[in-house]
This record gives sequence, structure tokens and C-alpha cells, in this order.
Amino acid sequence: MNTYDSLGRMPYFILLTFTLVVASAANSSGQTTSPADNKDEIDRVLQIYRANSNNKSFLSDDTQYQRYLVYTRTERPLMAKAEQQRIDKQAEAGTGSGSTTSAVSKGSVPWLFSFAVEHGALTQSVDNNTITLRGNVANLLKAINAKDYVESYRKYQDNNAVNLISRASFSVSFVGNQNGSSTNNTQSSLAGYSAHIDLYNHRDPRDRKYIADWAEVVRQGLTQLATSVGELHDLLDAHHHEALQGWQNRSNATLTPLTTTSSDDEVRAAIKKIADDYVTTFGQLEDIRVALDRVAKAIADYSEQKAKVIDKIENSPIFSVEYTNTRQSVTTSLPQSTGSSLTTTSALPDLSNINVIAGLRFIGRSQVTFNAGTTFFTSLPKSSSSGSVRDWRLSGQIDIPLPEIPQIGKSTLTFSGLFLSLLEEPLGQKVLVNGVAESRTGNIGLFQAKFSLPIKGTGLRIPISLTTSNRTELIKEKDTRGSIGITLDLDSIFAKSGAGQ
Amino acid sequence: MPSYTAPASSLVTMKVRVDKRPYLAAFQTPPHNSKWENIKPDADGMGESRDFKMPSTPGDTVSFNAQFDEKIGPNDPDPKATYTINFFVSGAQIGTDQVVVPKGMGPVSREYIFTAS
Repeated sequence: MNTYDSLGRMPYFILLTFTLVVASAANSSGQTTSPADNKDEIDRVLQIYRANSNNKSFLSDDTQYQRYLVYTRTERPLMAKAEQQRIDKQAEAGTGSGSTTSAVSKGSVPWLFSFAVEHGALTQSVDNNTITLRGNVANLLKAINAKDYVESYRKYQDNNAVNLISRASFSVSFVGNQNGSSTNNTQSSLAGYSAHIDLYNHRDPRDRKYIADWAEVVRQGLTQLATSVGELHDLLDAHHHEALQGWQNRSNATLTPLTTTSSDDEVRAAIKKIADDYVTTFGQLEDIRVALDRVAKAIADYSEQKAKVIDKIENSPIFSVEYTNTRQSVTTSLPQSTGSSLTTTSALPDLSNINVIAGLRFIGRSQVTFNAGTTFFTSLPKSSSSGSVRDWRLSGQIDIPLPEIPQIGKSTLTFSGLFLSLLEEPLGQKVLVNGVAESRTGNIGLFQAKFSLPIKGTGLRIPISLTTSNRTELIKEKDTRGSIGITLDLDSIFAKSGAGQ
Repeated sequence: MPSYTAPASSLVTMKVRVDKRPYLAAFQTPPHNSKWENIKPDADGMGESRDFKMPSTPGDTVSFNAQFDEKIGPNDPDPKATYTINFFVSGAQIGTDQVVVPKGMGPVSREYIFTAS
């Protein structure tokens, strides 16, 4: 290893160390990094009011404002809420089907289907964009049968047979041209298909496996919270009845002008006025300090207990198997291997890929995923002297959730590595490393750092990656390149349209 | 806050269901001016049933706080949990309530008051 190599790799190790420390720190507190403040609490009550059909009884309930008082009176770090975000879902094409910016396949798939368009390849590529539709047969059938996407998700949660089938999913990839439109020949636009089955996946919080864990959280932390909140209410009612009655009268007067057509700003202003009145009326009472501290502690304890169960769910390992078929024979626009003896009049051999996937928790809240797979030719011409097994590959990936960026969302930093043993020259679809074709057989290694930036509320994520590899065909030394793409999770879009049903 | 009336000395049964797991509802223990009896969680982990006794003097009240929360799966197309709360006396319904907890907005606090009639 020369000096350039040592210096070139150092930033990766620094970055990896830093991010693991960040992930560990976030986990050690049992909380995420978005401390609620009073404005958040006003917005939270607003969302509850809206979700409950503008029911004013949710705004006139004095216990609704105890958290607001707690945030005013207690230390904020104690109040950090537990929210987790699962990072094991993949909306990009699997590694075996043409272009992708991911080095490994993940063990879980979007619930109904997702749609990914990427530009820029890592290990394989076609000249055009690849559009992947990934779905779940059982859930599609359920959705059609239930005639309601939302209802189907709820209705079948306890059907064991359907849940077993639901572990199997599929994807179909199409080739679109650079401006995003499909080719005129719809037959030739099919680039491949894949099947995926989760042999072991218990990362759904609805899973019956966790009933006892959730029940324990209810029995301890949530019951203690309800008891603390209720006792504070009882204390106010017993010792400050007139003040409580006065506050309720003023609150009702504030709420009277509100109608179902009132804007969020109008409702927010009313909630803030009521909440501030609650703090002014009761915040200085010394005899409620102990009860208020109990509420604060109960909020923190419950949040911590809930976070532990969520951690357990996210710690649950995933084991999956995936098969991918790449139809080179109908995608004649694919680039030809430079070493191939095939002419353009010969059909290119189709490719099959089998991939075994394992995913589990790593350090802190990070997730690690391993892949082991092989790609082989399924339709070699008689004139070809090539062997049927094209390559073997091993890969690993670490996903590290980063602290939430206000107004943007939660981003993820990913480090991945790939070892690829290319046994035969690629016939047809090239094996690309950083966009450069690898036609020589031999071993290939690469390492990638990827920052996935979400666009809040849109379902869009922008992955930005930096990759280094041990060799390229065109440059006889180390090479580092970047790649950028856009991924769209259609489940988010369906969720928005279906939420109101 | 929801308020109901129930006959003095009657046994009020509260049945709670959520439309999707996990069931994250809890109640002040003991309720003010009464106590919980016959607490029975539903086998499917999506609800429970419990009783409390009303005071013998008309006009007296029983109150308790309830907390409703959610943990919505990341792929749930309906990102909220809906709790349905029904109250019965001798099998006859005397009141009902519904609490919707949007994803990330829980726990929702609710104070229930029962006046003996």
C-alpha cells in the first residue's frame, strides 16, 4: 500500500468511526435526537385534534396540557421522545438485475410495491435507466379482494396462511430511455424479473411475537403515565377546583369560535392560548411540583421502555433468498462484451442470479446486511466456449441512521463492500465498477460510502455515493467515482391517498 | 373530556379495542373513587375488558385518566391507530368513545368521568 492509498482511505475510517459514535450515542440514551419543544407540543395537540375529526373535547381536556407544562418546567433532555425509523427496506433494484447504486440486496421489501429509477451504476448497468416494480403477490391479491388498500393491510394481519404467502415478493424491471420514456417495442422493454422470499422476518411491530413485550410496556410504563397524569388532575380538582373550573371555562370560550373550517393557524393559536393559560394558572403552584415531576419521570420512563421494545424488533434478524433473471436476449440495446465472439445477430444469453441475504443489528442503531450470491448464464449458444457460472460474489453493508435534519428528515449513511470473482467474461450485460466495464476475469473488490438524503413528505430519497475499487479495465490503478440517483417509494404516495379512506 | 352517567352501585364494564397491534392503552390505577376488577386482556393482543364499581351515592363521581399510543409499522398505508372504547352496565351500552392516535403523536391523554345516578 503506497502513501496515496493510506491517505485516500483514512477519511473513510474517520467518517466510519465518527458515525458509529454518533449512532451509539443516540442509542445509549435510548432516544432519538429530536427533542420536543413547546411548539412541537402545540403541533402535536393540533394533529390529535385533526385526526379525531376536530373533536373539541380533545382540546378542552386539561390532562392534554400536562406535557406542555412539563416541557416548561423540567429539563428538556429528560423529555426526548422515542422514535425509531426502520432502515431495512429497499426500493432499488436488486444487485442481480442491471443497474443499481446498492452493493447489497436488503432482506425486506416494500409492502405493496415500489418503483425505483436510478441513474448511474455500481456493479452492472445498461445504457438506459432501469425501472423496477417490486410487489407482493399475496398483498396484491388481498388488496384486490378487499377493494381497499388500507383495509387489506388491517384485515389480514392475523391470517397465518396469507402472512406466509406474503413473505414472497416479486419484481419486474423495465428499461426506459434517458429521457424517461419507454421504448416503442414493449416486448423489448422487459429487462428482467425476480422473486424474493423472507425465510425469517419479524420486524413488523404488529407481529404476534411481540404481544407480551408490548403488554409489559402497557403494564408498567404506560400505566404509570396514566396514573401520574390522572393523579395530577385529581390533585388540581381537589385543591384548586375553582382555578381548574375557571381555566376550563376560559378554554371553552376560546374554543367556541373554532369550526371544522378553521385553519391550522387559527386552531394552533387557540391551543397555544389555552396551553399558556394552563401554565400561567398552575405552573407556579408549589403543591403540584412533586406530582408534576412524577409525570415528567413517567413520560421519560415510558419512552425508554417503548424504545427497548422497538430496539428488540429492529434487532430481529432477517434471512431471505432472492432469484433474479435478466433477459438479455430481448434487450438488444445492451452493450456487447468487448471480448465476446458473439455477433449482434446472436441472441445474448440470459442471466440468472441467486442471492442469500442476512440482516441484523450492528453497533448502536446501525444495521448490517450480508449477501452471498452467484450469477450464471442460462442460455449459452452452442458456439460459445464460456462456462455457465459467470461470477461469485460476497458483499456487506452497514446502514447508519443519522440525526434528523429539521425540515428535511432522517438521512442514512451507508458503507458497503463487495468482493466479486469474475470467472467468465460477461456476455452481453457488462459488469461495471464505477461505470467502467470489467471484461477481464479475476477478483474485483470495491468499497462504497453512500449518503441517502430524504425529501420530507415526498417519498423521494436522493442517494449520493462515493466508491473505490481495486481495479478498472481502463485505469490500471485505484479509481474513485461518485454516483447520484433518485428513488421513489410509491407506498408513501399510496399511504397519502389511502389515509383518508 | 368525556363524561357519562351510570346507576349508583352498578358495575361498569369497559371494553377497549384497537384496529391494529400493538395495543398501547393504559388506565389510571386505581381509578379515582373506585378500583379495577376483572381485568382481561384479549387473546389477540388488540384489546381488553375491565370493570369498576360506581359509588353508592348519586352525584358522586369516578374518574380516571387513559393514555393511548401507537407504534405504526413503516409500511402501514394507514399511519394511525384507532381505539374504540365502549362502556356497559349489565350488558347495556351506556357510552362510547373513539380515540385516533396519528403516527408519532402519542400518547393521547383522555380523562373519563362517570357520575352516579
